[in-house]
Amino acid sequence: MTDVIVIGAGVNGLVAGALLAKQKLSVIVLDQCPVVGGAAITTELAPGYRAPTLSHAIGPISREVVRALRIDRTGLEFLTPDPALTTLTEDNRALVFHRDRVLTAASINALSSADAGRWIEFTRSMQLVAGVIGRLNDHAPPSIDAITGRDWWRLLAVGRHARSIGRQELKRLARWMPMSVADLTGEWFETDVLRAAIAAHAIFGNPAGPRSAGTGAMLIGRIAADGFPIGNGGTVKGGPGALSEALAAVATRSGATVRTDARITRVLTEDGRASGVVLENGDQISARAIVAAISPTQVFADLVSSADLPPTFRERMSHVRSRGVTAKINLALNGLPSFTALGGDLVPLAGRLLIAPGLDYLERAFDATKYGAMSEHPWLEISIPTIADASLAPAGSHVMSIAVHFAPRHLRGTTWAAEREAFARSVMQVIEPCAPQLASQIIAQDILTPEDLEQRWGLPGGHIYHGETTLDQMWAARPLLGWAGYRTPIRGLYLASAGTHPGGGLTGQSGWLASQVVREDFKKRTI
Amino acid sequence: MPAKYDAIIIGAGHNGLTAAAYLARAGRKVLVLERRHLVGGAAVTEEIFPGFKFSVCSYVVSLLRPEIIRELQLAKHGLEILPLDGTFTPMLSGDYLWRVNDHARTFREISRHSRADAEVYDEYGRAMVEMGRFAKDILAMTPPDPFSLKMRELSVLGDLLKRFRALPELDRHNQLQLLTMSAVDFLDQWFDTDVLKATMSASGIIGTFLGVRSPGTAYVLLHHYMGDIDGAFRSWGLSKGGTGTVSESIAGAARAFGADIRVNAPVRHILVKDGEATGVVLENGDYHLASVVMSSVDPRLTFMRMVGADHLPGEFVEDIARYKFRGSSGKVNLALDGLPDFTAAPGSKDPGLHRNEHLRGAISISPSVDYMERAFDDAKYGEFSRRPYIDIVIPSLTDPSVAPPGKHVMSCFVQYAPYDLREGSWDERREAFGDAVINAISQFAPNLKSRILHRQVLTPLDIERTFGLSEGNIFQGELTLEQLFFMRPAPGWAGYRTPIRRLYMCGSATHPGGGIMAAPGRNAALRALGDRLL
Repeated sequence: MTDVIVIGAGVNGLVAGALLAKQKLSVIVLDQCPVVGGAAITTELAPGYRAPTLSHAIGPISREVVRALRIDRTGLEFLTPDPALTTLTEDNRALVFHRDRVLTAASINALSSADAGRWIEFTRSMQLVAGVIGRLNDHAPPSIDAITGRDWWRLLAVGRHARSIGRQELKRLARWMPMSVADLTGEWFETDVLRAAIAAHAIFGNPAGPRSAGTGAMLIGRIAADGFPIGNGGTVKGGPGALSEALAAVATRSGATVRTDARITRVLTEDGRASGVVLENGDQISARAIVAAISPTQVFADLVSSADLPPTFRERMSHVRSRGVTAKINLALNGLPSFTALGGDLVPLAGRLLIAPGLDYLERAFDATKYGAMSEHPWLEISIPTIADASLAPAGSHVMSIAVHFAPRHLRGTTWAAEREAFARSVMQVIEPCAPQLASQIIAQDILTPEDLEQRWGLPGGHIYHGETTLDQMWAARPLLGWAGYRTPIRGLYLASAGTHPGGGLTGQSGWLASQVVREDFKKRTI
Repeated sequence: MPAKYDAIIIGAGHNGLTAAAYLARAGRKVLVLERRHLVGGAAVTEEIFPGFKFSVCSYVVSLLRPEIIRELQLAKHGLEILPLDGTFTPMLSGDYLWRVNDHARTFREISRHSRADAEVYDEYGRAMVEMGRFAKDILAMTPPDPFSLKMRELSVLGDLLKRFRALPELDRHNQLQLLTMSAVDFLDQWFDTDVLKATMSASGIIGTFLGVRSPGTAYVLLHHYMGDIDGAFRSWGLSKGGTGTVSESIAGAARAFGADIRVNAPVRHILVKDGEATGVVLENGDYHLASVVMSSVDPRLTFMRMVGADHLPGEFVEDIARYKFRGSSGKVNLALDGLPDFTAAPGSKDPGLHRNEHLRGAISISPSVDYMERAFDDAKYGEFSRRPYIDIVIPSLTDPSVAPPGKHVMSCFVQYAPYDLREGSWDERREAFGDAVINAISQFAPNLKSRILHRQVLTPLDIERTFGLSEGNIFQGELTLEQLFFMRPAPGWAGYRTPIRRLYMCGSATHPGGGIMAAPGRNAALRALGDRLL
């Protein structure tokens, strides 16, 4: 009998598998896809062209995880592009966000000197308040139904830290969380494109517009993870797939078995305890613990028999909101795209490019999703990873990865199969005024709709974070109030995906926290 | 030298009057100063057109605190609440949804749309009543100041947490969901019927610049279930003689306790000496001195106009400047020659309805969730809703004294009407807005236009001008999470006190906020008395 089966070899599954294997437990990591990585993969788009298929940014992965797995010794090269982001204005000018806030302020100064001054204070304050929330990411959230002494102790430590940032910042934290990111940025900045760049970071991946209440909390949650109001945009050499391969190598070296093309159809139980899994080919594997690093929705809807769950549990799980709104377009290009706003300046292309010229633009893009339509003018986050990593394409050629919002999973009155081409055209129409020659440079393209995300990668509703990261589905409520501590009603079955605290973003944090809980249960011999 | 009062109250709205009544009841010498020619603030009855008495602004009595009715003996002073039974929602399909207090009937009605929903509706009601019980006690509380980081203040939150943890598991989960979810998302967990969710979610957006799908709108759903705890009809009722009677009865109580109430007495500024309020100066130059001054007008008027930023700490001035008003509602008051006929249930033709009884409660123009959301979309871009959400009441059906025989008054509360229009001014667009409202209703009741004798259109700008509510916000500031409880109106200043000693706030801009509850007035008066400064 195996000690642990990890379902899903995404970043969280691999991190959990590797950490548990390091504890001298026998671990098998299984994934339905032909390659490891889940949403962190690099695939060939055309011969010689390799693109970040889904996410084009990673993490950052926390220091603890890097240290515990010695990822820094795997030869993996982390890339932190500077500038981190360049956003284009409606009149085709560029606003560049450097990693140095003073340099960024200088860039903002060209649009508004008042905003340039406030940027410094804004980032300082944001990082302080996000630091408090970040503390919550270090531990498994408490169950609000049974807060333990250790939970209180940890909360007290967070409280002490909160106290240390001072009354003024605490007030800000309390005010900002429930606010909309439009209101929040409106209190600081007058430049629309600057407000929109921050708002875009907050709403990425979620069916929310900048005027949706609670997007303030989403922003703070993001900054708690990546440190920047406009996102970090870090990646690794070789694309996100290289990270996954490195993690798989660490797991294997630590004694774990990693198997792909292994689809699990059922989690077996014995006397209310998880006892193993059944694979699609009929194989059964017994285990003392099952760590499901796939979407919690999928686990309880498809893999577990309802007879094994408390009566209301499955119903509550079915209410977890998971409305995907993100699509991807990957392009293979025979030359370097030229953005008129940048002139000949190549430096900004190292980071991500944002086409989201204002708050109203974002909000209107969002409006469409509410009625089951894709945005007429979507907002785009573009990455050209070949600038920093020439290994991904033939010399002189490039790949471009475009994350598109909003593309609702369920279209009203039509299907994604019918709309795929029209969708790609609408994206090209948005880019065209910024980069007029782009269309002529395309030699191959890959369109991934939310339907593809759901069907090919098992993301329910096509939601890239396995569930929306709204206030009511965060921290102690992720995936459900009372069940945020990675354990489930079935003893021996654990959750470890982005659908648990602290959520998505390819940080491996959920896998890390879940592995600690599993390890603890092994030590206490409860499994 | 004029006589010195124990307390001067600025504004004779229901909260100002309530504060005055409680202070006078405690034996204090109280002066109430009102800018307009009548008491009531936004809770007034005015005869706009001869013979037609309108509850011009606030039109239903929602959560008037039972302890206030009792302690001030408001019934003795003329308060009579008439039941407002049911909500009738016509649908675009030509069908309708009708919910009444009669349990069996509502069950039958909802069953027409969905049997499952009809069954869940009861369960939902029970759950909400339970949760209302928890929330209700918070209304009567003076919010603590957790930002002071003082043990005493934090322990108040600790007690709340203890009570919260003592709730049954399901209620705990529901409470947290209500705080964080949107009304529609919350209702999605219970119901399938679109129109049911649309019309129920409407209460979550009233007075806010939020849509039914905006997080944070779920909590107000509770308000409908808090009144039920205190006995029938308290939750939604009409005050006999119009909403003004509520204010007049409180004024009557205050006078009986010895308070002096003066109308046509606009306050120009609050006298501040060495960081203490000492009295007020009127527009006509008169001044009055008092041991404490209590302002029931909103914080922008109180601090920016009547006190002046130079008397206040910079941080507080910034907080008040950031306090969000953003009026989003308007009002259309109609004098009618006869009742409108809703095509979904015309007069007596529907065998399920007795003649016009479906018009005796609220009539809600909220036919679908998408309709509600689209109404909000318009407002987001600075436009009034082309097809607005409208909450209609015809008080003359319940209280014939407010209209000439055979004629009716119809009150239409409209959302959204953003205070800041992107194009044109409200003075230019007032009638176009009125037309949009009439057209939206006519879609469901085509004969309405022919029944209209007179029409009064109140835009957010009119609400600001007439009632002194900044940016036309009916609650003296949005009821959103970041402006509730210990954040209302500013973090650290939610306890009715202000940075100026001897100056208190007692209006809807303080906890627990707007709606005719009168809780801010009572809470503030009790706090001032507890401070022993008067």
